[in-house]
Amino acid sequence: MKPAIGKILWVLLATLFVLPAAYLLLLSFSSSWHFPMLFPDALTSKWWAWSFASRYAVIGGMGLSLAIAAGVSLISTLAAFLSSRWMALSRHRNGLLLLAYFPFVLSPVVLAAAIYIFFVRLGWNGSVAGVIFAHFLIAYPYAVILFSGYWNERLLTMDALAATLGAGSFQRYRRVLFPLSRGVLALALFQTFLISWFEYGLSSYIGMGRVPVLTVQVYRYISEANPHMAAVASLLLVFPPLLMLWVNKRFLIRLI
Amino acid sequence: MRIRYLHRKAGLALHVLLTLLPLAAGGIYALLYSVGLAGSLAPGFTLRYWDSLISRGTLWQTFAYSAYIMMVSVLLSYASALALVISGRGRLMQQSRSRIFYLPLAMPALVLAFFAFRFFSGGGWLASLAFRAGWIESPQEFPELVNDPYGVGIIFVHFLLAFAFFSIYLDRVYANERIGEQVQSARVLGAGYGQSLRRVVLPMILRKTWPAVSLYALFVFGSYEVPLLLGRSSPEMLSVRIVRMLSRFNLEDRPEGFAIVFAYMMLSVLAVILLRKSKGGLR
Repeated sequence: MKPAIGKILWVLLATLFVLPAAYLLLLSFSSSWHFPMLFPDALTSKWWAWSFASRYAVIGGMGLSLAIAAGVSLISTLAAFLSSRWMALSRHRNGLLLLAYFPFVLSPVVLAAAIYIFFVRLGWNGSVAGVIFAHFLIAYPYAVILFSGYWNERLLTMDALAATLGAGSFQRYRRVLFPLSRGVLALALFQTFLISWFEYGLSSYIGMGRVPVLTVQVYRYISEANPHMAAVASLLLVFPPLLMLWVNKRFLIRLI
Repeated sequence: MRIRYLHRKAGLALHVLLTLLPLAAGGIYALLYSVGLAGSLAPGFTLRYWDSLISRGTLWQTFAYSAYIMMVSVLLSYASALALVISGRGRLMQQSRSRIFYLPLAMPALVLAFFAFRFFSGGGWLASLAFRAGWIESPQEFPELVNDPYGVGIIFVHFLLAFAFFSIYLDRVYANERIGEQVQSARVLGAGYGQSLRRVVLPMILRKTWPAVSLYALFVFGSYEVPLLLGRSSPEMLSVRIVRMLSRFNLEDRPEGFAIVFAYMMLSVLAVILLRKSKGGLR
C-alpha cells in the first residue's frame, strides 16, 4: 500500500470509529441540536447534572447494571471454570460442549420470550434476581466455550500431581488451578461482565421495564425523544468497556 | 474418591440442566402454544396458526429479510476487513494507532444504533449537511437511510461492529498462521501476486476463520436492538417480529409468534450441529 493512501485510509478509519463517541459526547453537552444545525447552538452541563439527580436515576441505573454485571460475571466464570474442568475429564466432553453452543447462538431476547412463562410461574419476572438468572443463562455457556480450550494435558497433569501429593479438592483450586489460571479467569470475568452490561433485550423482557438497568434507560430516553439524556446514558454505558480497553484491549475481543 | 466422582457427575448434570433445559423447555412450550395446546385460551390441537403463517408468507418473509441483512452485513465487513488485512500484510495491529479498531467493540449495539438514527435520519446530521450544501430543501427530501425497506441503517451498524471485529481477528490469523511467509515461498517458487492470493492467502484464511464468521452471522441473524431502532414494521427482522407478536393484545398473534420462536430455535440447533459436523468447524 502506498504511504499516502495508507495515511488517508487511517484518517478515514479513525473518523469512522471515533465519530459515534464524539457525536454522542457533543450531544450530551448541547442545549439543543436539531435540523438544520450542524453544531449545537450552545453547550451546557445540565444533562449530566440531571443524570445525577434522583428523579432521572441514571446513576442509580448504572449502579444497578454494575452490580448485576459483576454478580453475573463472577457466578458464571466460577461455574464455567468448574464445569469445564469436569468436562475436560469426561468421556462425553464433545457432546457437553456442543450443548453450550445452543443457548450461545440463540438471540437472547428470543430465549427470554420462550422461557418467560417459567419466570412468571416462579415469580422471577420483573425482579433483579430474575434478570441476574436470565443473564447467567447466556453468560455461562459463553464462559464454558471460552474455557473449553484451556484445559490442556499439562494443567490436568499438575492438578493430578497435586492430588497425588495429598492436596484436597479445595486446596488444589486455591493453590494450583486458580493461580495458574489468573489470565484466563480475568478474561472470562471481563467478557461475561460485558455480555451482561451490554444486554438490552433480555433485561427488558424478563425485567418488564421494572429493572431499570442502563441499557433499558437508554432505550427509554430514545423512546421519550430525549436525545440528550439518551446520549448521557449511552456514554455511561460505554465508559466501563473503554476503561477495559485502556487496561487490556484483549478483554474486548469476544467470540474468538 | 467416590464422593469426588459423584461431585463431578452432579456438576455435569447441572451443566446439562443449565444449557439444555431452558432451550428444551422454551422450545416445547413454544411448539405447544403454536398448535393450540398451551396458553390461557388454548383452543385445543390445531394447525391453523402454522397454516396461516405459512400461507401469508410471514414466516418466509421474516427469515428471508433476516438472512438478507445477515448476508450483506457479514459479507461486506468480512471482505473489507480481509482486503485491509491483506494490504497490511498481517501487521495492522502491531501499530499503536490500531487501538482505534477496538473502539466500536466498546460500544453496545444499542448505542451505535442510536447514533446511526441521529446521524442518518431525515432530521439528522447528514440531512442538515445536505440542507446547508443546498442539495435538499426539507428533511423529507433526504433519502431514507434509517427505517427504510433495504435496512441500510441496520447494515451500517452491523458493518461497523463486524468490520472492527473481523479486522482484529483476521490480522491475528494472518500473523499466527505465518501467511506472509507462505506467500513469500509461493512467490519464490514462481507464483504471481494474484496466484499467491488465490491459492495461498484466501484458502488459508477462509478455512481458519469460517466457524467464527458463521457464529457471527448467526448473531446478526438474531439481532434485536439494532433493527428495533433502525428497522421498519414491514419487512421486519426475526427477533423484533417475535417480540412484537408476543406483546400484542390480539391473542391470535401469540400462537403465530411462538411458531416463529420454535422454527428459529430449530434452525439455530441445526446450524450448530452442521457447524460441528463439518470439517474444520466448531471444536
